[in-house]
Amino acid sequence: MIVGKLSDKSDQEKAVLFHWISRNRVKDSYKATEEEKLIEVVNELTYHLEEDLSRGLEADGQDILSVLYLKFCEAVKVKAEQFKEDKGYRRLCCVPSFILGLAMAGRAGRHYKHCSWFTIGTLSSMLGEYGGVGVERDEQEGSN
Amino acid sequence: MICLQFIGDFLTESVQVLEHLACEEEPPLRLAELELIRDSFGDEKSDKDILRKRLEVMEPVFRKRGSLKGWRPETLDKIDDCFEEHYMLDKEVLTFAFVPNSGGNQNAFMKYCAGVDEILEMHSDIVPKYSRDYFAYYSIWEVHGYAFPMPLGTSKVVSVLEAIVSGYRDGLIEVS
Repeated sequence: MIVGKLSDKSDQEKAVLFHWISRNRVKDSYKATEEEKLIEVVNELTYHLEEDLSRGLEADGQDILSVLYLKFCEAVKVKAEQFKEDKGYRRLCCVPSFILGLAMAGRAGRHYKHCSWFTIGTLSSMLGEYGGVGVERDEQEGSN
Repeated sequence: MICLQFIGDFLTESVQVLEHLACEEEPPLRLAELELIRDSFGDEKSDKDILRKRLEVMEPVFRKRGSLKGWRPETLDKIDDCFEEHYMLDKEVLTFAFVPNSGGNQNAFMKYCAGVDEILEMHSDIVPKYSRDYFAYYSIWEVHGYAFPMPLGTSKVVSVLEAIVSGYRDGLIEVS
């Protein structure tokens, strides 16, 4: 019955409904595991990336990210704001080419999303001090 | 920061290469001819300009994108295992991996290419139709701007590169 109803929806609505029905809504404390949360974030960004890619644009030069992947970049900004208190995810969102790589990998599905390094812990350690510096600088610029 | 940009860019490029390999248009040069050209590139006496000229017809078609849905995770996992088989020992990357002008690296890459081709041939019913041809073209690394043979960027390759690059954080500089 749900499948029948979903068939009328747009891809984005289907994705949102899929995540909603697959969430644990019984236990208050852990509504999603860390792995599920990361995959959800990447899936959401991948959706915006697919939208950008469907425009079939080409660009060269400095602002290549914001030209080619406009909706993706906007979504990353929203996520960075959303994760203000969550340093791990905020770090990810503050290195655009890195989060773009993750969203691209997300397009290829399970091979990358289920591999050993695709966890917020490992990705955060890849970011190391650099992500932290980026966030602090970002916050300082925001307050000036 | 450059290290992260490098890994991010590598991930992006790796997925784009998978899209190119999935191109649904018949390639102007087919597998046998591409393999011959690849072998000729390894021959010191061959005229590289002539070989590059012969490959020019491939680039515009290769740049087109096929669907990533053509790549099943199981196939990519097998290609990843092939990388592990030829570039790693006991989960540790071998010292010659990604080293320019290294005979060991060159040999590993040749074995890796043969292994990937075997996987693509064995699973021809579930991989993109012309992936063997386009992989043979991709494997002629000299024409794709790489300084050394570059395996496909499957998950273990990404993790190995990250480990290598993070060891040289201070030595990385951005060039344009």
